Amino acid sequence: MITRPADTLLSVDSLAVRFGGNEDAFLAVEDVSFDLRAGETLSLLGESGSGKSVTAQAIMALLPRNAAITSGRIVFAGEDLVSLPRSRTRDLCGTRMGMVFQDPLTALNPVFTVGDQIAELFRVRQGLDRRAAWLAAAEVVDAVGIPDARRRLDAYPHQFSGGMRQRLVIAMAIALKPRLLIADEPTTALDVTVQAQIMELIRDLQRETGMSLLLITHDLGVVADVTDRVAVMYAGRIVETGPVRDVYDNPAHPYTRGLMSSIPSLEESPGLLAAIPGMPPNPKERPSGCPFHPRCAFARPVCSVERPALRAMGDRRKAACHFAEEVVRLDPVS
Amino acid sequence: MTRSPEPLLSIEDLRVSFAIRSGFLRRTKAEVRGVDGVSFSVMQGKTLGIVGESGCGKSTTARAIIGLETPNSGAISFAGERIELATPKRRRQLARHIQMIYQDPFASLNPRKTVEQIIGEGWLVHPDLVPESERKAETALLMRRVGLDPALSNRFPHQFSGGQRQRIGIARALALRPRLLVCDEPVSALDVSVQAQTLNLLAELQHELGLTYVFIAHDLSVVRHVSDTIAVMYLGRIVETGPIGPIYARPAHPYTLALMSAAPVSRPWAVSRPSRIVLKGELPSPLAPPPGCRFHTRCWMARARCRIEEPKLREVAGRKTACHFAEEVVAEAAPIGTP
Repeated sequence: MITRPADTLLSVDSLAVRFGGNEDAFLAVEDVSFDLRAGETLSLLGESGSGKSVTAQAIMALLPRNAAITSGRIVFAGEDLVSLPRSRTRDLCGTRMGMVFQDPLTALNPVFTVGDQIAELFRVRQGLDRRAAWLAAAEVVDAVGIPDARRRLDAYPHQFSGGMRQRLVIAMAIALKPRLLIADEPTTALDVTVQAQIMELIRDLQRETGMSLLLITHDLGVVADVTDRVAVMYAGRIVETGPVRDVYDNPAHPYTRGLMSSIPSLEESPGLLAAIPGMPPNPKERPSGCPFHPRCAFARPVCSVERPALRAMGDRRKAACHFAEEVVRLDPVS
Repeated sequence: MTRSPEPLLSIEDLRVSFAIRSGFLRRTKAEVRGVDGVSFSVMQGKTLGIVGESGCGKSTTARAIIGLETPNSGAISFAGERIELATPKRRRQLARHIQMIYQDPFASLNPRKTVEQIIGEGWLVHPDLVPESERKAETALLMRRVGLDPALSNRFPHQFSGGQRQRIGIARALALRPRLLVCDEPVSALDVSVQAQTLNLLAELQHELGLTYVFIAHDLSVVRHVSDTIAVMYLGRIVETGPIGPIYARPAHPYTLALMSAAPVSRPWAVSRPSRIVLKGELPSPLAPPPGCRFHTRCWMARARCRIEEPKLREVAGRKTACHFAEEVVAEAAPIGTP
């Protein structure tokens, strides 16, 4: 058993999540482990099908009906969520973990006013009376930067713009002062300038409240903007993790390296992009050995046979590549 | 490739508005000016990038170019010919030369048709382009050209990934041997690794076939990579336009500057750029655009003049900008580049 720092808030250990029934079952997430300390930020970065959102859903007990955790532990503030009864997990999720989703419109109920929805949280979870709950709702709506909060509580979700709706969703997520905020692609549906506003809001709230942040995203730039550490996921597993800057400047996994060099920059970049060939594998037909080997420029015979373990590279980094030491020594990505 | 000195596409003072109808008689209650006096041109074989946030009119402009929207006024000239004045028959002929690539590779392909049928659809309208006996071979050629296995020509769209579907959409556009491709957010729905492949494909096709692109996107890094010239739109107007180099190095419009400073880049520590400007407030409703400069409600530099007098596009530091204080913006903005 590995010893963890005393202030570890969330610890995911060898998590596996299965989707589907007997015949067509597949593992969407396999052997995923990471720790998040109090006040720390971590990004799960990956493309569609990498398992990043499923990991978040497993933590929040929001997995779809056809999915189940088959092994592993999720320890949050000392309690193993996997073995807890669902009702207790739901309790924790409402009060001590908050979640922000990609699409703010589906996260809000269209037939209730914003005030009703937010005040309900305070009434149900904290037993406040109507008046006090309404005042508390106004306070939290004000805290997420919605002007004229008290009056706006009477409005319905459709009366707000996309950016304001995402602020409302954030208000609901942080209303009960959770210790952990999980944000799943919180800015993907928003325009660039609004995106900047929302990320700034999340950063400010985190600084003020000291909550931990788990950010799920496909956007390399958003990661660099907000979090200290990143875990890169591919085909259901973490392939590389470490401080964002170290990982981005000198990737130790060829997939990370491929991602970094395949995106254009704001500066002049003549010629073709160094794209990763092929496509992410179908989760039902993942390649043998290292799941990235068919697309990997560094692949050697061992890669198609033996799956590389996620192993330590120095103090704070880990990578799952047989040749990580070679990859990390390559010229920095430019 | 011969390059004509005349632009392949030129738009002059384009205006497109939408009527807001309500009430029992569906009377027009208001009018939204989606595109309000936009002019630009694109040279043969070059790419014009159009950027802006939702509601700025960039997609409406694209739809007007391919004839899906009827402009209220303005001129759209293709190879020197006014499209909007052409007879319906002539319009159909011209339409072949202007094809569109859509954002959503899931919604833009008919789920009941095979890839072969989708790619060959345009030949039903333009049967003389490819004789019927050669269509199968031509389809295979097109599929190979965009990186798809011709053996899959009898499959349906749902059997392909997002990136492959976008390739099908590109093959369908190429089937009519167009000269101009209007690409509306062609890579924004794709994963990062697939996005790079698609951008490379578009670049190769442009090089080989001498295609001209109008490339609409919200991702400033992508636009920088593919474009020769750029137009930045805000609330139906172009606020800054010109060659890509000077504009990215030193924006002259506060809105462009804000976009550049806020654009997420993968390694912010490796790029020097103006410190982040987080714009206050939201995009005003296009129903009631602010008087004076449309950007003044969100502009940190706005002064009394901006609220009254609308700035015109004018030449400033190698590009055109619609800001009264463009010289100040250029002078103050820290250049973007490697530190």
